[in-house]
Amino acid sequence: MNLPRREFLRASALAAASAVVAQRTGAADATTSPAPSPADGIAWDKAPCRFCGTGCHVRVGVKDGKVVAIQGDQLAEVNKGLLCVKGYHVGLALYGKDRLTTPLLRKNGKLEPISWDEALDTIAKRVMAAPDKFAIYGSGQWTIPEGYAANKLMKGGLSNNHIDPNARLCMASAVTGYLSTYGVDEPAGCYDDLDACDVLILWGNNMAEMHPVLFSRVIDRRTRGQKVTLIDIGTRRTRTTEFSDHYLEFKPQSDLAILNGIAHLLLKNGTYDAKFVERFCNFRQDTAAASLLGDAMTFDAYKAALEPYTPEYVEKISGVPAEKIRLLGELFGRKDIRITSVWCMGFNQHSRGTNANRLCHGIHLLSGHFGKHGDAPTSLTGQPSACGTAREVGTMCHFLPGGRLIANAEHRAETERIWNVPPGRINPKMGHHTVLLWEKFCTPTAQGGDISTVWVQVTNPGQSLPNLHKLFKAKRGLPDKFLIVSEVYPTATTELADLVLPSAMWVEKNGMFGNSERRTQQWFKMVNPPGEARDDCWQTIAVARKLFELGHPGLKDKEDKFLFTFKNAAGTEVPAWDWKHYYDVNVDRALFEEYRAFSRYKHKDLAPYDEYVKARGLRWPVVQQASGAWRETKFRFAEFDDSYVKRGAGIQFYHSVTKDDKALIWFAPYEKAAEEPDADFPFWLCTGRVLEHWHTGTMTMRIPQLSGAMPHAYVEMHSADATERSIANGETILVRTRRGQLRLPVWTNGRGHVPRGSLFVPFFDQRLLVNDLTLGEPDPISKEPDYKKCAATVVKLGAGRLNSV
Amino acid sequence: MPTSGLIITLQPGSATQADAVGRLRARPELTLGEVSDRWLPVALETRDDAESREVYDWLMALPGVAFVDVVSVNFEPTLSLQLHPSP
Amino acid sequence: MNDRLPHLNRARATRRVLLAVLITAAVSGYFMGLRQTRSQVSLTRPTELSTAQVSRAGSAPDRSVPGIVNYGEVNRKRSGPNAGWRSDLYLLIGPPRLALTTNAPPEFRAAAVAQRQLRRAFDGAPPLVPHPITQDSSAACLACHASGLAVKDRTASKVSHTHFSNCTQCHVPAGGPQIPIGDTALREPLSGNTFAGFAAFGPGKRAWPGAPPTIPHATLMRSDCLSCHGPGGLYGLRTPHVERLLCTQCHVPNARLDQRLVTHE
Repeated sequence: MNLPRREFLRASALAAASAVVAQRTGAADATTSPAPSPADGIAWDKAPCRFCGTGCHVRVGVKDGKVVAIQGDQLAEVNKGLLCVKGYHVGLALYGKDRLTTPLLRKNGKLEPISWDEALDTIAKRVMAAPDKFAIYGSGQWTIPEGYAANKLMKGGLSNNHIDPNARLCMASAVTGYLSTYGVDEPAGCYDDLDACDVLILWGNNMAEMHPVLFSRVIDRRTRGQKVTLIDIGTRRTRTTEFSDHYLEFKPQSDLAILNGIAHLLLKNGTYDAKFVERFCNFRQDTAAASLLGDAMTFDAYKAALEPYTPEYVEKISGVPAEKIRLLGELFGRKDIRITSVWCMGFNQHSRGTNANRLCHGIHLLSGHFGKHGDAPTSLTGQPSACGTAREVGTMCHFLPGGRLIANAEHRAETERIWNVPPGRINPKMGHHTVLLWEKFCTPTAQGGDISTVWVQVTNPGQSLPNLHKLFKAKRGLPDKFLIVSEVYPTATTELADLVLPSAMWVEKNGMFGNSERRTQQWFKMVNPPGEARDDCWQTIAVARKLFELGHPGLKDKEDKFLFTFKNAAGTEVPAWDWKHYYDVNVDRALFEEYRAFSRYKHKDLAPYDEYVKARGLRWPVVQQASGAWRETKFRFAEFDDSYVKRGAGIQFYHSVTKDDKALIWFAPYEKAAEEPDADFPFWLCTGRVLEHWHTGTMTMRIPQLSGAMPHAYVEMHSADATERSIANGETILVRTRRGQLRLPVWTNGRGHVPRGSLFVPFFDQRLLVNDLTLGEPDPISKEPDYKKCAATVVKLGAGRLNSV
Repeated sequence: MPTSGLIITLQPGSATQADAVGRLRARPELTLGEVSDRWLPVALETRDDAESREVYDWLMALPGVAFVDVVSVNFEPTLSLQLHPSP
Repeated sequence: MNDRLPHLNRARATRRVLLAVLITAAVSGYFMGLRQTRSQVSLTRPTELSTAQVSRAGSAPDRSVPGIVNYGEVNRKRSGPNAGWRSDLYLLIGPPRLALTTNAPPEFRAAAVAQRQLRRAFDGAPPLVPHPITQDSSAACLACHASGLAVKDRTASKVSHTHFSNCTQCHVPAGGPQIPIGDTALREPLSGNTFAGFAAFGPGKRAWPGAPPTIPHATLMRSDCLSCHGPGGLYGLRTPHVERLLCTQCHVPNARLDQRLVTHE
């Protein structure tokens, strides 16, 4: 083909494309919220998915005031138009037939409808009667403004730090892992690492079911001809295993030994990154008691501590063949490949969860597999705003917003300044963490149960707490204990509630979430909540107003003004506590702009609210450029991307615990689990999730497509173990632990495959509460319970009974 | 030798846009037009359909690219398809 | 007495054979039952086992009770009661699907749309799987759905999108995992749901009668038009000109549904 002809073709192709673009320009910006099309009457708007921590964006189709369709949002970088089966059906979560639509008060043992005013009065009076015995138990599903309002009410208003989220049960150990390694919480990398890594290591993480969109992001690279090696390190075979190149099955708790085995090999083979370690790392361990920051140790002491963890020794503990440990050691020793580690509840719900997190960061730092796209240790979260709300807003009993600590006087003072409350308003004493909070609530007041009223928002502790008999069900019959639950459906928690408040959910309200990769997301209310259901954030503000009216001094700021005062664009105060006027002003925007002032201290800079309106989420730190544009950050601490790193530093851990811009590599020994199988209880019992259901199933069990696909819980058992006991597939057996017992149908050779001597039960089914059985041994540092390990036994019921259909 | 006219829809955000355009510029088979709002017209020349597909997939996977529209395609007959090959 | 004997023998032999047939049928039925589920098509079938054996038994009284053949060897061993039993896969291949020459009548289109709605919460939702699945592998899905396998009157629709390999991420079995539980009440849902999904965006608009209709749905996840509109698709949705491969040359997608343009209309 001659050149002029090619030039001509190229020019005409470009001209054709340019002509179309010229036509398009001037058309409305795709990021602004749409109006309905006359053709089909559907208005589309963006929202992050309601369910997990991945943070996919969906497009919500609304017609005649109802959600009628969902699409994956192609403009969203997280999911690029793809969703999972839960995401595609997220719109149905609003329309379960038994939505709660009116406040209910327990009278003579029965929940009876009452007015909102009576409900708010009831709460306010209980708080006034015993302000220090009141607690709020929140959630990683709280929107950012909801969590912020609750946090401010408790810590800034009531001088009461008894506020903790269910995220304590979910990622507290990830937080302590990050804090004790980098001095600041949350991953350095982001999902882009999944696109760039050569090796992806899944640590006790069934990503194919729990974070399917992210999993597809990795395995779809193979379909495009790229090579990515998946290594599944787990305690049972799952759908993830099917896609993995290597499967390393370890005995529960021995992940600690495997991690040490890798570090041992890096040192032994001399393949650790000496330069990286020298420039960017110090060493740490817990010498006496377990603590967040531990004690310094020398490199030589670190080496000596790892000396015993030979591949053979690790094999003995973990059951993983020594050559597989060598394979991991060799991979981490290679400089020519990029390794990303991901984990979720396997590391976090672990009686040594903080140590598991620390050791995983440690092998990445020791080997220098850090600070480049694809070279990162990244924790995944289970809830849509565990990061955005629980961690960043700091709705935990020891945190203040923006990574500040209650224990730190300067942090308290600064928080009081931003909240414009008098000095000393914030109580310097840490509140009760989740497990303690519920223990105190379930203990009679006379015996030291110093929590008498708990207000639960956006979560279901009656199903998700471990050891439910002790931590939740013991409330039954305690006369002076009062449980308030803001909910959308009847749940295991509302069963014991004294007051139930009907809530708006997801696109029935304005909201903001923060996902696993530091991405802050925003959405607008699109449909009205049913009946008298109202926003959780409004509920908090309305109760605060009642307290203000009853004369509680804490609800006033320094100028005697109500703590939650909002002004509209004209500068007029809007009584947002009055539901009729709640949407006269964008309360989310006002609260977020106030909260934003907290975000700089730990370099978690947030952009103005309006930037999030335009974007499909932005990853903090979002730094304003000279041009005025807001730039998000994909890799923190790395010079190539993080504008807070000094020029020429390469890597700078600017919140270093040791104040020398270095991260900490920890040593922590392998330790046995709190309860291991024995002669009486010969099985390991592990709990977890399934693809179709989200956490306690209150939403997904009401979506026919999802409950149809997975209608009930089961116990997974090895077929040989079942055969030995003459147990048939589908047969109902009794699973028993030292804490309780539960009848469950057996599923052998089903979706997951446990090894011999192990059981697995999903926790989504409110009729089959596996948390009646779990031990929930907490990590000593993070106080996060272990749901993955306890000892159990099985009992065959009624010999000869025919159980199959 | 197909020559195609494509419209690349870029993700909003000036930093990601600039990033993407930079990477696009590095591909020799692409000739870039002027970015207008969120859209970038380009001409694409490839050896064959397979390569076109490859580039298309690469484009779709590129961070900062939201969508790729094909506006025009011109197929030039390749040598092997000549009607009367000389003996 | 003597002349009654052969009669008795014959009756005994017949009974013996009948019993053998009954046992064989019961045993094989049991195994078939294990292997098959309601919505699966019978992939093997006994070729006139019972009638052939019975009539032959009648004429050949000296035949002894046939030995049991291992189930796994049924197809290889050509002896015993299962000698005539083989997988007739060739019988299962559906009749050739002829391309339409004109559009299907509107009532067929409506029927096809209604059938699609049965398996979808709304137009654009991933369809549920109408049969039991292997719980731990996606390879099994692609065995039939990668190319769109037609077996007798059943069609495994061809996947309409490319490069997604974790099938069960979006497509879940409507009938659940079918664990054979005793307590079937557990299969009952917690509550009903009043969601009313948007049924269908179609049909596409035509500029004038005879003009090519526009694409009335999003093309995301529907990049292979022939999955639904090809000869393997539902009758009411098939194109009358399957030979023309460049669909979007004449049928234009909707920018709004494809999320490329969101305008204030």
